[in-house]
Amino acid sequence: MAHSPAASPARIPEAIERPGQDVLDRLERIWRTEPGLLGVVGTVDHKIIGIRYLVTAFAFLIAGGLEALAIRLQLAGPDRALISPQAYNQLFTMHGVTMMFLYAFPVLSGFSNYLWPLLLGSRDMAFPRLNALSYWIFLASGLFLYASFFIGQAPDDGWFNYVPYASKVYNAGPNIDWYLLGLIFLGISTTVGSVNFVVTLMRTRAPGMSINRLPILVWGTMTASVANLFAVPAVSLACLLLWLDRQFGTTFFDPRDGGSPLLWQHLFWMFGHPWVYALVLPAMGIVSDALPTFCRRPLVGYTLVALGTVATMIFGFGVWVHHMFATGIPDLALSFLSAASIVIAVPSAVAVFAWIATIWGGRPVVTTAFLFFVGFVLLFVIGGVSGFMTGSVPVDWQLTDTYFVVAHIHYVLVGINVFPVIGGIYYWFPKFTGRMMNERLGRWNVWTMFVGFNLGFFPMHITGLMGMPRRIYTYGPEMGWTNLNLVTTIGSFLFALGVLLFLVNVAISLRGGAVAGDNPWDAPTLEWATPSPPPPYNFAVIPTVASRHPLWEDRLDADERTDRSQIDRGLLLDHGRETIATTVLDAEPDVILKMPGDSQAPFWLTVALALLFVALLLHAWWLAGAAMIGTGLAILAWLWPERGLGQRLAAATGAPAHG
Amino acid sequence: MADSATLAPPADRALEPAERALPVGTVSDVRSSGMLGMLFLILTEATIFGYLIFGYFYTAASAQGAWPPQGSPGLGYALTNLVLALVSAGAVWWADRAIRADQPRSAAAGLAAALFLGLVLLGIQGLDWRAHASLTAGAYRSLYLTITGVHVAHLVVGLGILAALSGWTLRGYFGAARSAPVRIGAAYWYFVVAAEVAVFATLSLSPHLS
Repeated sequence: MAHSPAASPARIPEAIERPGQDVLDRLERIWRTEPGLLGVVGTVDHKIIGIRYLVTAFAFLIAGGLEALAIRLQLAGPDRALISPQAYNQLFTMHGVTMMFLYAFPVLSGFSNYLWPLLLGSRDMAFPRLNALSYWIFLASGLFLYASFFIGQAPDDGWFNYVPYASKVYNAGPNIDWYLLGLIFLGISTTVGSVNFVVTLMRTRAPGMSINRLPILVWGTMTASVANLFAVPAVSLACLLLWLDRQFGTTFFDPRDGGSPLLWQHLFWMFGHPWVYALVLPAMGIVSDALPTFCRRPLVGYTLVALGTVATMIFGFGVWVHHMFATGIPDLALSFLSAASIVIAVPSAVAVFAWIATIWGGRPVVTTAFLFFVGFVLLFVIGGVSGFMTGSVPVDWQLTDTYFVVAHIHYVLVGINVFPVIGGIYYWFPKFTGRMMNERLGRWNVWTMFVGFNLGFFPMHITGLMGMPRRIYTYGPEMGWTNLNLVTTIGSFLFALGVLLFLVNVAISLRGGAVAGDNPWDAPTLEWATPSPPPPYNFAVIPTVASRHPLWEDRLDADERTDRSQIDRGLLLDHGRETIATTVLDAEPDVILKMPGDSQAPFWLTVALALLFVALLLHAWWLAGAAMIGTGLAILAWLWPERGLGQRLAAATGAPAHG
Repeated sequence: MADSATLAPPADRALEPAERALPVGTVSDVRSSGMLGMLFLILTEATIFGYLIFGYFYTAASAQGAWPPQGSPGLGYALTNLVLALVSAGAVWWADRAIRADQPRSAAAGLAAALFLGLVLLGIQGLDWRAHASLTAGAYRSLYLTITGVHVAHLVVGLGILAALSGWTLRGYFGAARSAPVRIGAAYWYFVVAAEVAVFATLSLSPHLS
């Protein structure tokens, strides 16, 4: 196991204080992305990739939002014929697919990609090229899924795509195949991204960033990433099996030939429920990290919130059956999984009380971001309570597949994802761009969204209790749902107006926002120790961390501390692209990592994979074979050992160096 | 979780984030980023087999009538492949040892031997498929061919890894001072072999046990 240290290169890394302009210029030359098309395609800068993730995810949010507005116009009154039933099926399916897969998770990946190295005091993620790959595949799979729209045959069986309606017998067109292949394709992006986050957490942290000092956003993303590694294979496999059923006549889900439709539901929700937590835990982390800044005090109950994050996910793997209470599962399983679904409220409640206590015990500075976070807490409580209700089997039997469930999922996902995300943009926009967002417009933004959201979605609880099933394309006037649906439609348009105000604010603040400076909110964490926007190398010297709030040490427990975080003095690491790797728990310096430069390989690998999935859709087997060869070649080129990165022996000359 | 004294360096040391020599680059160590990445890749790929095996036993438990419907599959091909896989794991282990002992030629020989065994295994799997009915002959056949098919897909990736590593090792890229790539590739191959064992236990052994 042990290798002789003398055999591999080693050096004592130079530590300097307040690096001069010449040092900064040198680091800039080492780390910058080349201008021009090659730089656009080849960049591995986590900040550029993070912004791309955010922008692309918001583009999908707008697409999914427009689909929702079309749905709401159709449902605004009884017996409307604005949209055909077939088109309606495609719209609600693509709305769900877009929001669940192409917005809610990627937008959080955007925050984490941008912020992780800055929060952790590093210069990049552990695998910069893998970071680029996960973005390109996300983009390609999103475009793949949306291409179905342009031929008018988008997926039309809801975002969880139950058989038998998704089977070939009942759904002969290519609609469902787009969904199945698109989800497998997207799963590659999620998987490589998750591996990257987990290894980054284990490796590229500043000295002293021990696990008890990690920001909660890091805990949330780490938890979601580990969960994805276990959860995504379930849905990728389910999609593969259904694709085989549809295209090659296997019978995994066909009871006439020994298969079982429930197997789809099991596999889907073994993925689907952990996925819901993957969509919210990093967003809860955004609030846990940003809210304390506006409360002028550290988060109350850091350890409980961090452990609650992990506990939520562990429970989250044991509750998938609560999506299947009405399918005839044995009583014992129902009782057990119902209990698990109710117990999972405990760690979530811990976080809620921690946020309330942080506000209560602080001196809140009311900003737009603060209001988004407070709104989030309120919506989280409402969505949590309706989830707690449907965790009970008898209540679930009454409410399953009604609008009550639609109300619940939107309170949870809009409340715990969209509100923290937009609040998070208000918070980090100065870091991303160097400019502040407009606060006055921000107030209009937050109140329009909050009022519009509640006006739109609260009545859905009542329409659900009145028995309105989800996914019907219209209803008769005699049902008594007319007024509530009209209110919901008005609310949804008001909510959309709120999102539009946000986009307008982004547009005008990009050009005309007040110049922010390094730390406009006087925030405690490391990202605010860098210029706004940060240079390509993030930190001129690698900081050394001595607490959870390195920038607040002067005023917090000033007498007790003997050690201080070091921001201006630290490791220089300028022999090419380098950063420090530290030990997993205590974050002591371990290795000097050589980091790869820009690379075209991730882009071309994505192109080859996209061709492969198109070929599979079209049954173009020769193209599929060629694309697989292309995939292999791109991976080979990517992994070819480079001397500059220390990936092969320094003495290698092309012939064996030793006998 | 209070900061304990062991976590916080003493004040006089805080100024020196690293005062000893640190290895540069990814060292030849199980702690390298590449090895960690490979272990998490293996974790998620192993989960695929977990869900496949879940699907197999779920379908078996809800089957009407006998399982497998045509009786237990013969053990001939499956046992041969199991032995081939285990021997190939031994060859990779040999290569792993050789590269750390700075013997790249031996290492390349071990990798190439495993590559050869893997190709034979692939051929025998093809014979096994030819001997069995098509995908469309019911849920059991669907599962049998898909589980072995997913395993073959992982095997083919493993063969690619072995081929690339043999070539790179012959070119003198690796030695005792740079053995991480061989060890990372070996980890993947051990996973392929472990998956073969799991597939054997599920498809070939379990019908004989019930």
